Amino acid sequence: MSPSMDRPSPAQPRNGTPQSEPIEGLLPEQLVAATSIALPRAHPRRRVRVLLWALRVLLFTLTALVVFVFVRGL
Amino acid sequence: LWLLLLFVGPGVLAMLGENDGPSMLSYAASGATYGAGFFLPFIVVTFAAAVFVQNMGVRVGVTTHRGFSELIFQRYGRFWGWVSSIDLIFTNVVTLIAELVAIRVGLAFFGVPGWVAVAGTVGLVALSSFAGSYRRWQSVALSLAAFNLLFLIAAFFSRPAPGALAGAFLTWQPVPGGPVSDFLLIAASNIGATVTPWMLFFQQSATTDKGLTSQDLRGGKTDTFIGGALAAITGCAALVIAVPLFTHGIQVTADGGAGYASALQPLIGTVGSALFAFGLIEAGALAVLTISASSAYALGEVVPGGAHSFNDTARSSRVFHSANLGITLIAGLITLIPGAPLLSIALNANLLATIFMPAALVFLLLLANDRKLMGAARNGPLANAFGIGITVIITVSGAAYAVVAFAQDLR
Repeated sequence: MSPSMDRPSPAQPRNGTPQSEPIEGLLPEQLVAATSIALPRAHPRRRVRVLLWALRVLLFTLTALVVFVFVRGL
Repeated sequence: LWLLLLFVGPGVLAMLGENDGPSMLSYAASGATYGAGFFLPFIVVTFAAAVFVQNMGVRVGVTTHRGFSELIFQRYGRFWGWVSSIDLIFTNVVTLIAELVAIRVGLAFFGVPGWVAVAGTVGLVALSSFAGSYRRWQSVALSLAAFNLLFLIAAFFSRPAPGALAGAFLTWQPVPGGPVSDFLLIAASNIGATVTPWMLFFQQSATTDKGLTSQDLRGGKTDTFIGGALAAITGCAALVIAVPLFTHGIQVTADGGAGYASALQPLIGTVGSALFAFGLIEAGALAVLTISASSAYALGEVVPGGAHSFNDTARSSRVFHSANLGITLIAGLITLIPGAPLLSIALNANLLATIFMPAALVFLLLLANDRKLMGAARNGPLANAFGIGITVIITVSGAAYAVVAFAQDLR
């Protein structure tokens, strides 16, 4: 299938259930409707939740370092 | 060839858009500091990593038909959705300031006033944003991207020794000497110049906006590979251009690129240095288009109340078009504030990209492994091994970069 460059973008998501049908088989209008439905929240495993918390700490620590260096450099 | 031209776009623009002003100056700084050696193959390897990561994003995009921000927001909740978007917008504003500084300095080389440079850049974004379709926006951006090859032409004016270049690629020699902290800063700066969060947000959303499906995955990957190859060649060219500065032992202070163009003039001639300055203007202009677009996609996907596509009118996608134009306007106005710390902001652009990249990569890996989203298209063990390896290397180098900068500042 060749790309359609002027495809209208999907509307903003609404609450709903994820699409269950194969998305490639949908007509453009059906595709817009399918992608406008908000996906359900993921339920990550414990180790993924720990990883995400570690990521929060790393992100805020490094941001603090960079902001400190930037402010000192002014 | 016609079929290939249909697919070319998001990948080439993400890759050549990342060859922006600060990135090209990072490569030039590598050449001026260490000559043609370790960093030539290093640049190629970092682009190979970028192609791998970007292709994962393309696969997620064509399979889910949703942008990166949209997926993080819906699957991992408001906190990570907003953190990712705000991180991206903040980094993008800082990077856009650096781009506008590069454009201003490049145009100043030809006597153009600063306010004209800023007004022209904002006008370019407005023109492309309201062109009415993704295809027209992409045409404007691809036209600018072609001028990235100016760096390749300019590299010939530095008369590189083919044997030394071949030796560098084959042996990674000579290995840089001097203080480890300097080497670490240049290495992290080069990584930050190649793999950045906005590229992920931009390419996945642009792939969706272009309407590619999973049947077009091969074309999308070819697009990314072509972009990566072109970007690696021009990135290496920027390094090679500055090698004469290393050979003659000339030290250049970082002042937005004018220092490099001026210092190179007696060594590679007026034409060569003018091509370098032109290249910086082009690199900045293309990056302004792609980086502001990535901000627009990210905000348009998470703020309720409108569409988020270049195909939509300003009325139906107010947030998208306002973000696209507004972020450039804000960055442009900051560069016009008398006494604003532009140099400090520009120097921190790549640093910010490096420290925010791990979060983006972790979410990319989580999404690419999401069985409910990706089905059979989810990552295999090899893709995960490479993806995790790249994430760990970038996390360590980003953290090392931030800690070294902090430690140096305390001295």
